[in-house]
Amino acid sequence: METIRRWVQVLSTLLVNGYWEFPVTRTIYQGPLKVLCSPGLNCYSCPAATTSCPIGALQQLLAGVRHTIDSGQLYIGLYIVGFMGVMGGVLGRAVCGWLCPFGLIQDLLYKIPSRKFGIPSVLRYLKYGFLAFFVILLPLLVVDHMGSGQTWFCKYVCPAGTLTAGIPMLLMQPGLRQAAGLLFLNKLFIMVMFMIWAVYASRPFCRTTCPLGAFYALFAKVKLVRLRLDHSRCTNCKACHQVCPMGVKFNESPDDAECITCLACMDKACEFDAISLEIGGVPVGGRASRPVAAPARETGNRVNR
Amino acid sequence: MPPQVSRKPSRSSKTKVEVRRTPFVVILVFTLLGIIGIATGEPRRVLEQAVQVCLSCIGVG
Repeated sequence: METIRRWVQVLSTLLVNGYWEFPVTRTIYQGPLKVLCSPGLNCYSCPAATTSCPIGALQQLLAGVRHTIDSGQLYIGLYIVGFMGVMGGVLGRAVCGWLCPFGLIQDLLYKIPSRKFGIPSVLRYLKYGFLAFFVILLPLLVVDHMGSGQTWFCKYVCPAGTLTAGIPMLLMQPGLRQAAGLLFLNKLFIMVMFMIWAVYASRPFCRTTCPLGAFYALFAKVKLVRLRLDHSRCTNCKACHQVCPMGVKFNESPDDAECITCLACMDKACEFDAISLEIGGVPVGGRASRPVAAPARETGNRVNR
Repeated sequence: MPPQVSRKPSRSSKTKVEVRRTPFVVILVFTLLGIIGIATGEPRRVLEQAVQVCLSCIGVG
């Protein structure tokens, strides 16, 4: 299952980054596909990007909302929110686990052999702050004398934008290099910190900072595709704790907002088939005939992520 | 008088699958939001912005 997920991640990354003429044209894709949003975090200023980043597009609309009102329109991002809501309603954070290019990058970085560390669970709440303030409130409320807001998250935080758009664009367009000052250095520093952190801890950006992940996390209890725990089969052996890349204790909170439905707990950990996948309440896939409610067992000293 | 036929499912069925309705309601609500956004012309505005290099996004603006 892990191999299938990796291939889906790669395929998704290639689909939303399918413009490979950029080394020749030396600019970004400007075709009609950009009207579509990418399900995961994928900067639309990346030279290869063929779709829009929902978080970037939402901030742009909110930052310019006063101008559009002046021109008799009201662009408040309903198209973007509608798209993100449908993705959240169907897949929730499975998007993070299966479709997000920056999730793939972090997964690969975590494969670099090193000592591994956990992430304090209290840090998970930071990303809701980034969503509320950096994506919605600050672009909407903090405006200059012309009435224009800023894309706060993109401008000051987003490491995905720096990695996939900032660095390639500076390499391709020498004119931009002169404009790269403290702002770029700040973003470069944040990106490097997250990439180093991703070597030592699993998916630190997803768990602590990503506003798109925070939005999808709101659908944890109502999403269509989710994992289900069969309490009659669960022995509370805690094997699922050891394999979860998001630090979820699945047997204690099956609807945890951090679950990215990577299926590692179902596929690699649970020996009692207590975890299954369901779509809208309907179980999918067969369940092997395994013993029910066997005694709890010790799991040894594995790394708790 | 013809005998009445009960339409209730039998209690003896082995597995009872309960379809959750909430996800479908959520998806419907957000689909409607998206349609309203499309009707107001938001995709055109998104496209106008997305075909330009966002300097602030790449950290130079």
